[in-house]
Amino acid sequence: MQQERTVSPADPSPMVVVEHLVKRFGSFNALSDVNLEVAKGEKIVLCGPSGSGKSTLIRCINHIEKHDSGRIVVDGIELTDRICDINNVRSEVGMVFQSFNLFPHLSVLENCMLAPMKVRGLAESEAHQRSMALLRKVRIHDQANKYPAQLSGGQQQRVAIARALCMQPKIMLFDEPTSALDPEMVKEVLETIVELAQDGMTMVCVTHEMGFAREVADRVVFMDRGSIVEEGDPSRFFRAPNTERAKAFLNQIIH
Amino acid sequence: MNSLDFSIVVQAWPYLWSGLLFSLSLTAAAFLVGMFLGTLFALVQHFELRILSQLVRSYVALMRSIPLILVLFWFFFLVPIVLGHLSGNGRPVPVGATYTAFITFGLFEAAYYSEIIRVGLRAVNKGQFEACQALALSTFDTYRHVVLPQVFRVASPIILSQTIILFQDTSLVYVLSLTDLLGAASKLAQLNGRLVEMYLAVAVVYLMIGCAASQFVASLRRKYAIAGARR
Amino acid sequence: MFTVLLEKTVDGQRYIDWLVSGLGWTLALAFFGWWIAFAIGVVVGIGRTVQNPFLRALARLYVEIFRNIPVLVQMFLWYFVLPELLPTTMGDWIKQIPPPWGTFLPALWCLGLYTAARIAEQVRAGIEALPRGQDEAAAALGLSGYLAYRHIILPQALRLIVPSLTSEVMGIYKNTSVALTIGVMELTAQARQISDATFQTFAAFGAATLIYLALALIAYQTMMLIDKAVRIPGTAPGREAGGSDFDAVKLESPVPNGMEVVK
Repeated sequence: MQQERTVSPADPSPMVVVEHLVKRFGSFNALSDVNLEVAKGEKIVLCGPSGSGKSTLIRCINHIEKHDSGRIVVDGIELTDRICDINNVRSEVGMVFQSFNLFPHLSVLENCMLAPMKVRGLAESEAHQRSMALLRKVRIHDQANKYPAQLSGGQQQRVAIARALCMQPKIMLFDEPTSALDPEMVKEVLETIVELAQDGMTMVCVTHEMGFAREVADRVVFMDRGSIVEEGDPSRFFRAPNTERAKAFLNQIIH
Repeated sequence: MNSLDFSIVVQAWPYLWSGLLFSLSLTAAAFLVGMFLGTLFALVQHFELRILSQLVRSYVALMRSIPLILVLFWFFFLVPIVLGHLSGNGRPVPVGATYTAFITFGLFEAAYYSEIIRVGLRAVNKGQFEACQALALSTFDTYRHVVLPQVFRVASPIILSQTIILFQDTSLVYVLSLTDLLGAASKLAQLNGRLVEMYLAVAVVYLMIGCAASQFVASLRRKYAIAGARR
Repeated sequence: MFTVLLEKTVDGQRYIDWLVSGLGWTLALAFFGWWIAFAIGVVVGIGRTVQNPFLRALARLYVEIFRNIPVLVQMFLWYFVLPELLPTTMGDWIKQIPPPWGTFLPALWCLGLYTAARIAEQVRAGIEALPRGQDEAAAALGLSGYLAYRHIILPQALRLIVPSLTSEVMGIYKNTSVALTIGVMELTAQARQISDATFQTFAAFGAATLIYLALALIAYQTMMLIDKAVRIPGTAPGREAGGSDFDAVKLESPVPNGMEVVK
């Protein structure tokens, strides 16, 4: 395996540590012995063929999937089965899903305000203020009182990003945020994520958008069959991958 | 609290058993008649036969809106009169509670089954009809060999669930003083005064039959879910 | 045909007053029974979907028992059997509840618990029909357990099952007639009493039938209004009120394995 560390920022303690992570679905090994460290402020792009375990990995970091063995430490808190730890971690980790998963029965604004009020205990006025500010940031504040089904896919995904940001997470996980979108809407969502990256947010993003990866990622991590096969600087990785499997994969997504 | 004595139930079992057989045969008869008429009713509505489908629709809506007990009372009163008119001399023909129950349940259930089949008919893929036309099948053959078998198959869990409810509803013939399972228990209870034991025993018998039947329906549903039919 | 209803009865009322009184009892049973059923049904339905295996089994047991025993047999169990099984003083106390409450309360309780089992299955089906992403999104925001059910799952599941609850509403008001077997003088019982007293069976049953039809129409329209009122903006209407027949059949409802037509 290639080890090619980029320089980590000033704060030395990592945001996420994953060690010897194993996750099985029945007899299928979705993740076998995965090790990954994400530094504070670092932006990582995870790529790889479908079924390679990249989505499973970030779902484990948020404990939406329970891992079978290994360690996951998020911002100093180790993920065990203790429910308070799980909720502590989850409220520090923002997640954006492929299929948006907005709450259809709540307005855009209510989608954003719910968790800050109920989980963080924010007062309504404060939650309102924060939500509007973040909706403005993703440029969708004028739709605040609409319902998810009344928005386009790109708009829905931007709301989902704002909703996650409302919890003031320390890290954002993106699970193929643009792959359920029509092509003309991909750009508006990617721009939003780029802006977020420029603000210094730590993020792990599963995506095949190579232009985006070149622009934003500090490091590209390539996974195949449940393991990390190769990682490195994006410009180098896309130009000249070291492994045959990465070469084959890149050939496929280019053509 | 009196001490319970369930040996009384064992003694009464032959009588209860004959009551249960009546409940089951009423269920079976109502199922057959109800399914036959229900399918006809559904087809009439499906083909939108002008006056007939209006009539059928009203009949179904009426039956589904009033309690079964009231329907039983109606038929108990009406059937002799109608039969009297049919036989020509205009005199009411006393038919007795048993026949009334069979006629009522058959006609009543037809309304419920027809709704299930009507909706099932609407759910059949349009392409199936087009394929039949392309094969030059007659309308009769289209429905007999292609459409209805699919409807019955898709709707079979719902049809069976409805039949379980029908079986439970046969207990309502109590109001006609018939000797179904509950009626048998109630008559014995009035004789021997052990109504606690009798009613509890009846409840357990219904519970066991109901659980077994709904288990069967659930397994049928799972099977179809796996086979990829609509869920 | 209905003029007989305006004649005087032996107790100095008019027959139509009997019908009105019967309608009152029918409505009381259906209305209060519905709220008992809805409250218990939602709780049991949630119980069917929680992680805890003990609670799940308990909820399942409830549904199997109350759904698989005919409502008439349950009526007898509450009215005849329960007082005998309780300690003597308590049983005697129950038996001494003055009429009409002595029959009304067991009937109400019985209808409520029976219908609750059916509602519980609808609620369960509604919850299971929600996309998994909703659970996951709630979890990712730190909303778990009670908060997720309260704010995310239930509001959506209940909206989803409004069409199928229509037939449960129609079910409970029709089942109120079963209460006549333990002596509640509800609408069907009054109709029969009028028929027995006057031999005007057509008029007596006809009037009761018309009243039941009106109730069905009101129940159906009310549920349609509720369905419209709680519809989420931007989503397609589940099912438009088509024609005059009130068909609340399940196949077309969004809930896949909901229970079927009730009577």
